[in-house]
Amino acid sequence: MKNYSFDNIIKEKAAGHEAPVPADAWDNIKKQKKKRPAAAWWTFICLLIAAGLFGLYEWQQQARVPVIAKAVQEQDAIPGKGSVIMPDTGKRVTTAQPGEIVFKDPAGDSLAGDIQKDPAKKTAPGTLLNTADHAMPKPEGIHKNKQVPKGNAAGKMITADKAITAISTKQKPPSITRSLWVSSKNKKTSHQKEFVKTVPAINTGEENEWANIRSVNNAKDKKQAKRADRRKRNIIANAGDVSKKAGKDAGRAWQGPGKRKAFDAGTRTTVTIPATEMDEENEKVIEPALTTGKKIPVAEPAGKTNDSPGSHPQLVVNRSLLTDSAVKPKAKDIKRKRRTFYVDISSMPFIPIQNNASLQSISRTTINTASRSEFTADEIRTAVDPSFTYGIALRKKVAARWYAGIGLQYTQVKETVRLTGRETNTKFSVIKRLDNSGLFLVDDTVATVTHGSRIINATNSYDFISIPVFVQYNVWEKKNWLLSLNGGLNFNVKRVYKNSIEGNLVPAYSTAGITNKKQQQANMDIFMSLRLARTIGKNYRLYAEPTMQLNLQQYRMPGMINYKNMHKAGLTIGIAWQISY
Amino acid sequence: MTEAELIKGCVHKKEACQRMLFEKYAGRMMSVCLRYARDEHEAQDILQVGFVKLFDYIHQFKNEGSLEGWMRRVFVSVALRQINKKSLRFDGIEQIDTDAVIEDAAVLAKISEDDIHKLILQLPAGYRMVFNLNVIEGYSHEEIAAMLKIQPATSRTQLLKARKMLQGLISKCFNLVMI
Repeated sequence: MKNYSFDNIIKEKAAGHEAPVPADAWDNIKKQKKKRPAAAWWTFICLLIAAGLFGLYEWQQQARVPVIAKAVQEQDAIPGKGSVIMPDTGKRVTTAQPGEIVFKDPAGDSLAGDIQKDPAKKTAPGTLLNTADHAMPKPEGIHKNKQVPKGNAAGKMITADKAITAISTKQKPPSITRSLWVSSKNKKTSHQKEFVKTVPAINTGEENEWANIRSVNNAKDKKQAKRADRRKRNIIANAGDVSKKAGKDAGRAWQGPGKRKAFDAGTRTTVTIPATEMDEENEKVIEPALTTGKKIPVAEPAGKTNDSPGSHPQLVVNRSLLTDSAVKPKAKDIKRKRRTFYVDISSMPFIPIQNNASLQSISRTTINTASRSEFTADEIRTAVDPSFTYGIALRKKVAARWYAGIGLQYTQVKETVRLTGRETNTKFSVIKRLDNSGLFLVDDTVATVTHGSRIINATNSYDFISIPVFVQYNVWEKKNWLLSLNGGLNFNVKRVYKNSIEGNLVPAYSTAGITNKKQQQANMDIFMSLRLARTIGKNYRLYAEPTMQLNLQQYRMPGMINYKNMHKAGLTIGIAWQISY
Repeated sequence: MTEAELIKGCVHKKEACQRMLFEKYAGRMMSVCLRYARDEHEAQDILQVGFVKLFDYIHQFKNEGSLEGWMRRVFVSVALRQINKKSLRFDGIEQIDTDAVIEDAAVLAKISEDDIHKLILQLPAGYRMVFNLNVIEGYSHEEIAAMLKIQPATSRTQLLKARKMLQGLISKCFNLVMI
């Protein structure tokens, strides 16, 4: 016996074998699962706390804290279902993947016809399997070698794909109420070949057939087929109750041995189309109007039906329509792509680094009803406290490793101010005194002037609302981790300075040209960061990125004690949420 | 529940879905573990570790093949990690004398899965490992060589010997002779 046969038999036997499982296996698995996540999370939290403490220590030493993090993204592709239709000699055909459910047209109307009954035969791509003579115009001079005339025009030979497009879009005979499926050539991509190589088909007969057929679907066709499958489900739902002909096992691909169940006749299938085997007894096929989106006016089965009375087409599994062709998507389907974008929600604790303009002095005059105070500070100290920036951003992929985004941020920074100088207070009081004659009392105003030193301590605050515009470049990706470089501009669209010191403060700068009156309409920062993120679940990523933000233009706001540049160095911690639609 | 829903539930760490997945595939995966492990205890360990890893990484399943095939690969990789590769012998091992060789595939096909499984377990560790990886899992000799840190030629030799030994075991156990 040849080795190949021996190997195949052994492989088939071994793959189908099931061994008894210990009774406590699941309990042990549960215990192991519970331990591991807690340990991982605690480790992560401890690392974060350690990083925060280190940063606090460094801040106290007036140093910057570096931090690192990662991220990853994944996205699954869903295997699609191939369905192919290839009109040939004016006949229509519906080809389906194993397990694909097609509508049966018992009335034999328009698109119905005989189908191949031999399940062992696999039809080549483009082979016409099921036709309805009266459904489509029968062009003359049809070549069997995948060439059909264009519509009703006899004699003009074009390729099959074009013919299908022409026929389906232009030449619709009145009897046709459904649009056509368009077949595509069978293309095996390197991905398919690799799949076949790494996971050879298990020779279990039916499974082997199914595995072989599945292996030829490429990712693109699977997505399109999935869309078609979704439309088909809608049509099934719209068509009303349908019955499934009891056939061989349904959903066999994911059912274990001993649990194979046949479809029950009369059961409604509206959700999925499991991988089932084809039913040899099906004779006619109805194609759903998936390409046009129209509902099918499904005709009532003319002959026997195992369904309840009513206009219900039989939902059957057509084994004989096995083919290894893939769906050729229509233009409509090609255009509609899945869009994905990301929402980043983050918080950044940061240490502000200020660069003050050279302020010589600052004066303040306060006038009350009966007093006047003039204060001149010759020693000015301002210090900004560490603070937080809260932000939300939208990101979208623009190239292979590039993302672009825009967001919104809010920052509040506290500033401690200490002004030391001299103050002159003039207090006016009204007294009564004798007039010059000495006989009458008259009112007189007495001014009392006092001089002294004064120290003013205050806590002021800055409020910023800014719009960051940024790009992200993925430097390194591996499994659940991603390292990326971010950079961009932060437009401070609203800046408010809250000064708690009473009176009108007038700073005097040594640099010419700086006045209180000069206010900038816009202020811009530039920032850069290194993001390290990790995938959490399917659509989320947790990330941390050390960020450096440079203030390009001085902050000059009404009431500011001292104009300054304020740079920020911090650690952004956030979560990214992937949204697809 | 469909397979896609089951996977989605497992991705979202729903225990009910994980339990369902376990009950569906535990038998087959246990068979895989037994074929790689040295004894039943080790097989049980591999099964438990394998399912824990499966639940952690099921979100990486991309629906590009069968779920069962992907699960097998996960369990095989877990099994290879668990087994001490240094303890595997890839030298020439004394073989059972085989006077009769199975010629008729139809006869072989009638042997039950359980019997075939037991016969595979009787193979020496080195033979069994290569036979499992090449014949049942479908890895190439180069891949097996990289996994087991042996030469591809060693892998081919081991496979030939394993096949011959298995045929001898089958013919001996079932008295299959060529007439």
